[in-house]
Amino acid sequence: MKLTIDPSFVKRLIGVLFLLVLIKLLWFVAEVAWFSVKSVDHAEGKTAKPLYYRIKLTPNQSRAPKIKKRAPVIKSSIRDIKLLAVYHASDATVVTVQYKGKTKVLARGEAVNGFVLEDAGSQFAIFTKDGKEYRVTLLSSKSGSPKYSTVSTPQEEKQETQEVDMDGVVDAGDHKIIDRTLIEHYTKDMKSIYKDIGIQEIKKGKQIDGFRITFVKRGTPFAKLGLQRGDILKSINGQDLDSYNAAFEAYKNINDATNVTLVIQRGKKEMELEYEIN
Amino acid sequence: MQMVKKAALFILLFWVALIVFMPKEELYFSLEKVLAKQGIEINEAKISEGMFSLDLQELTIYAKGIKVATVQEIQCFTLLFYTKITMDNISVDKALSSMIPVKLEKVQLTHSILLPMKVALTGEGDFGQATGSIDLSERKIHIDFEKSEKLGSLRRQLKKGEEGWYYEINY
Repeated sequence: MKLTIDPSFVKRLIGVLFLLVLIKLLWFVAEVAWFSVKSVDHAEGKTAKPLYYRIKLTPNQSRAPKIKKRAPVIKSSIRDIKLLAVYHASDATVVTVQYKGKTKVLARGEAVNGFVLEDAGSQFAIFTKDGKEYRVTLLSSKSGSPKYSTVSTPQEEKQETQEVDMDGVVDAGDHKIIDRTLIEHYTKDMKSIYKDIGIQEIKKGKQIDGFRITFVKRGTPFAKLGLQRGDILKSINGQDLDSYNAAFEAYKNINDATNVTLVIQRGKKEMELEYEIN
Repeated sequence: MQMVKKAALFILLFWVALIVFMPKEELYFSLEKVLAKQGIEINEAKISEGMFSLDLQELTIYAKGIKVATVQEIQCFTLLFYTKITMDNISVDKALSSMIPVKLEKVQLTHSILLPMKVALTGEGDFGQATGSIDLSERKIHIDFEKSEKLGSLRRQLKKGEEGWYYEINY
């Protein structure tokens, strides 16, 4: 029988097959040596959240004692500050004030009782606090008492003599009331959260064990909530903050919440901070 | 001439075989592993390998354990000198609406050997259409948005240029 296949074609075919096998082999070696053969899948955490209720028990059935610290009620009034002397030049502004019987010398940018010295004239000094400006006149021997006024609105002076009315946060004694618009502001603009508060995770091995507050900007609602640098956020409304997801869930659900109970660790003490959202 | 033809044929065959035999699924798993080290995890319902492509369906993307987005389909096509990645129907978690668009109908990334250090980017979504690029050498992302009236809360993240609103970030 005569062979009809061209031997050179067979040779070429063998060459091609050899090339294909070689490439396949190269990929196989690469696969074994470097590539991963298993998918990295995220294991969904438990989606069911623990039910959280605040139940007021009768005195006979009082709940287990818990170390509880309420956010301090800050009394803050511009009237506590008396302007004794002013040095005002183009390159420097220094004032001497009397606060709670003590004399303090302040340069521009320095603060007393939370009031930051911004500017001064020959007979007055301007302080700011929480975005509001306060003008304090020099204590003169003739009048005997200094004059106080807010630069923004005259009504604010009255407010300052009362318990501090915080922007979006009101102190109601045993708890604080947070204005819902404030919550909405922070949920709409996530970036503004990081401007006002620094939060860093704490890890125990690979597991997250709360979030540490690295800084709280003065005068911000976070500071007014009673949070301090070094506090460790342990849980929100009964949900342990043991993962980023848990923290994110809390962040997502905060808009629907009417009450927030925050468990924090301050030093060695564990505290419970209570807030009402209105 | 015959030699040139043979060489061209050999190169073509080598090139095609290289792509066809490429373990695309395993390469994708390796990419997943690299991303997992950065805290990004991807779960996919279905992976299918084509001759020159890899299709992923019903993906869920997690960043540091947080479910941030779902993608209906990702198609990766490569000829090595030209690569195209198409993502369809991306839904981002509503909580991130102030940072990124919540609904993206289509996002396409293309890379060509002619511009090796650039990845072209196009997108369609609630915001209208967007085009941009990723500069690999300068590590910069620039996206231009076409319609300003549909930007909504996204505008907070954007800058206004001579040709309209744009987003720019160095990574």
